[in-house]
Amino acid sequence: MVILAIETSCDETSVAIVKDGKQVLSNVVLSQIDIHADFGGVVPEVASRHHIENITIVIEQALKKADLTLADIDAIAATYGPGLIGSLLIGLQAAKTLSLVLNKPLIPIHHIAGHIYASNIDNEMKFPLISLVVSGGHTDIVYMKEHYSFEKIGGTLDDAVGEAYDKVARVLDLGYPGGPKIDKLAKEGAINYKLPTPKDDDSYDFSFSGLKSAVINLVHKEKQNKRDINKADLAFAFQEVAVNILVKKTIKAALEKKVKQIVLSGGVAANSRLREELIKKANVQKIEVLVPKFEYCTDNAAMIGAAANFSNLKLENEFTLNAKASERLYK
Amino acid sequence: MKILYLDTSSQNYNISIFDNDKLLIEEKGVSDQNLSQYLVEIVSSLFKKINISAKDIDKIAVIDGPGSFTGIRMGVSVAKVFAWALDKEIISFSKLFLLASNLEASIKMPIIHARADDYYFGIYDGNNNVIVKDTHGSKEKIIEMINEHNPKIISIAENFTSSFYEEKPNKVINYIINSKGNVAHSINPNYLKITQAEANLND
Repeated sequence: MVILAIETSCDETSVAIVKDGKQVLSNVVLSQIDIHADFGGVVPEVASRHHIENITIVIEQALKKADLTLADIDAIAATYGPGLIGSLLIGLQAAKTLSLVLNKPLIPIHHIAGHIYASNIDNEMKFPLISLVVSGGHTDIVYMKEHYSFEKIGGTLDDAVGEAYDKVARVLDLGYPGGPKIDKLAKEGAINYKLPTPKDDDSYDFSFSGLKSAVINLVHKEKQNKRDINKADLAFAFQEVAVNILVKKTIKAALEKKVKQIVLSGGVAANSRLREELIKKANVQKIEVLVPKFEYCTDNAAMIGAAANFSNLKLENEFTLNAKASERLYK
Repeated sequence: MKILYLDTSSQNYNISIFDNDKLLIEEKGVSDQNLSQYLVEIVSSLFKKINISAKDIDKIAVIDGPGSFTGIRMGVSVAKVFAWALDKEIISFSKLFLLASNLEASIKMPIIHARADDYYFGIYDGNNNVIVKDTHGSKEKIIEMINEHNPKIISIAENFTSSFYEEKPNKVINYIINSKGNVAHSINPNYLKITQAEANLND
């Protein structure tokens, strides 16, 4: 089955052509990152305006790169949520319109399902598995006992870990997006600052707002005392606390659920320290870790096409699918 | 020539299908948050009711603004993807032009309320040629324009209601038929306003 997949949940306009959930024939990602950098974060109305300007261009490029035409497409997949509602709507209207004019089924995909299935493109997911989904909008531990069965067993109670990275980067004047910048700077840092580990308990839930506040307070305090902040050391301290709690709870969940694999997913899966630490700790327990290629970590449509191949929900001649700004990952 | 007409830019939406200048079917209503959910379904159901398929449409005409930003994008996204996918002709034009075309007068001023003390407007002559390009401004600015051009007004905006108000697409059907189609990629919303975030950045 050849699927044309569309992903516009945030600030990337992306269209991919994916065959049988495995073969990525093309994956065009038009990032608006430079545009939103001027605002210090994603501005929803600006994102929506760029999506609509580029949507047909990106669809056309994806087909061209795959060397296919619309006649070769068997189904259309699109992210319906969660995400920025105005952004989601552009991709969804495009998908519904393609479904109508081509008379092909429409497969709605939850954004997180897409992130998890990014790992199934170049590897083979083995069940049961635990996925740690980490991005600017999500920090979830998801249990999958088989294909397309998702059970969220824990998640953040406040900020997503990627959001905390962005905010800490802003306080340290590192710019946007903060994740890669902190990751890089932390490599030059050493143990110097002590930060509290948030929600270090038996649950599978996370809290990053306190950790973020601790960094902000520390910066203010040092400024008040007219002391210079060692940015690399602070980046190191923040990253160690964030990564350690993520890894600790993921390993605990993996052991309790007796899984075959841990799947690291989402934009923060690109973080080098998180990859390294998770693989190290999982190796001790002899659990395999799947990590998507860098290009499939951040938002992209290939992962949506990869997930769509395993979804049983195919809407035929039915166009009332709604975009959902917040939506739980269904079972 | 079969024409699909889409207007989702303001409080009243209109989806119509014409065969040349003859209206085959239309669905009108009050736009609400659900319109984004049902828009493609409405188009599909109209096709079914008159027993045609998407391929039978020769030309798409869409209102590209001004109005609700999200509303404009709904119609434009469906229109441009439809036209691109089936390689059909597409044109877009302003809601203010549509309103002007519905009014008989030598000088016409369509007005649409934007928000608070801000209105979209333009000034058109008897043949619907532009005298003052579509723009936006305060009540004070509009009164200034009225005093300068002495136009007949077409509006349902608060403070500027008119005795006559129609937004029938059959008044622009010849314009649609005679206008040369554009490349679908180039069809985009015409918001007439930059975003608040960009405005703040420029300050």
